[in-house]
Amino acid sequence: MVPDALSALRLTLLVASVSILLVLPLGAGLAYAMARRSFYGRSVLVALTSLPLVLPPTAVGLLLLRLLGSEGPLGRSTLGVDLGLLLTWKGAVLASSVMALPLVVRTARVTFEAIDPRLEQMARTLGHSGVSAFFRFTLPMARRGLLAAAILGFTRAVGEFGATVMVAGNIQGRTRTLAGAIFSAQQGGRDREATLLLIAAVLVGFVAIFASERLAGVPSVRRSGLR
Amino acid sequence: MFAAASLEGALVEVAEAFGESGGLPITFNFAASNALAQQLRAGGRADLFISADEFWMDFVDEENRLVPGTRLDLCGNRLVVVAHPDSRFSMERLEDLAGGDFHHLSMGDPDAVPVGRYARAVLESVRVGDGDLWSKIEEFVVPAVDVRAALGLVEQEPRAVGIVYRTDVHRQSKVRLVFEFPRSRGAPIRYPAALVQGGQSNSGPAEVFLSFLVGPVATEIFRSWGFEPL
Repeated sequence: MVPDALSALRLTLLVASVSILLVLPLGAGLAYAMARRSFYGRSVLVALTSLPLVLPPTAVGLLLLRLLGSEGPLGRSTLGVDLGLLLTWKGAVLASSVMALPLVVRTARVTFEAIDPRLEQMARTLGHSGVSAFFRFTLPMARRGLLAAAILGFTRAVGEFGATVMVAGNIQGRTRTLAGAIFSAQQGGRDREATLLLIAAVLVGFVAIFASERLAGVPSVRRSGLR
Repeated sequence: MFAAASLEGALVEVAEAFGESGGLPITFNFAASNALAQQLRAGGRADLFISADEFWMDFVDEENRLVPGTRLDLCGNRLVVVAHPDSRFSMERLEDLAGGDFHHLSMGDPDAVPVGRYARAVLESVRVGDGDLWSKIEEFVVPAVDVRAALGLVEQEPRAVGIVYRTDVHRQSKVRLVFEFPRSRGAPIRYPAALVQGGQSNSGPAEVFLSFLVGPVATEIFRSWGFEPL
């Protein structure tokens, strides 16, 4: 019971960590583009990146299955290679990443929008390139917001069940995350195991929420100092 | 009425026949028997419960949720191995599952879902080399929430084979029937039915439907779906 619960906890943290490492750079990049630039297809991009937030997770799961299934556009028959995502932990990473992306993009976008664009322009008048201005000034100013975005995305990935179970399954020791393990324990009437997993989930959630409150709630000293 | 997912097609037809003979309309909750048993334990309201195995019916019984004296066995079923139509997987005997050419073995969660529990019990009883068949193929198992989900994976994935009920392949051709479990292996598969305590219409319509379920019309419908009369 305890080893199974630990393996579910370990896999959950692994999947959520890898997901957020993939989603944070992508999400922050998209968020920055949305906050600063106007480009063709911007509103479509905004809608697309928000979609997993409003769709039922099982709908996202089905969509990914259709894409990745052997006959799908990203499937074995079409690509000629097997991406090895279905029923593997990598599939769980994909599903969690897709589900976490909207939260990361939205949080990061608000963060970038709160930073005065004139600061970047000033940096550029002082000889910094656009890229340099972003990395030397904008990014450091956005770091709290981005960290909050990462934690939000991480918690979403930890809690993901619907899309994950469709893409990766619920295989003990391989793709069974906390969410899947709780479901299986409840379905099998294994009350003590379910309770143990519940406690683990509450602890992970509590730590993440506490951390994000600390980060997002306190205004950045440096930002107010610059104004 | 709470009923095992494998009964869905047949029971919907039985309910239609019941309606045509003047019976009341029936609202179904189809899911894996273990899920239904957990819902009943938690206080879920139902008039009737049909489980796909004795284990989960006993479980509900032990929670004192059954009306005493109403439990009866409805029909039987058998296990089969199925594969995707594009797959060339074949087998002659159960032992051929070991080392078989597949990536995934799709079945009901062997810790909970009846079809998975039945299958595991049989596979554990088959000796292969120095161990049992189950320990040889356990690593390929993809547990599903119910038999329909187990079937769904085989429909989508050419490299998966599945263990489902014979009645799941009876009326549809999206999967290929590969092998029927020998009748001599394992405990017989039975569907017990009983009235549930606290239902709204126990002493009236539910009781009438329970007797309709074992009557000639329903028995013929179950037979036409491939269930075995007892």
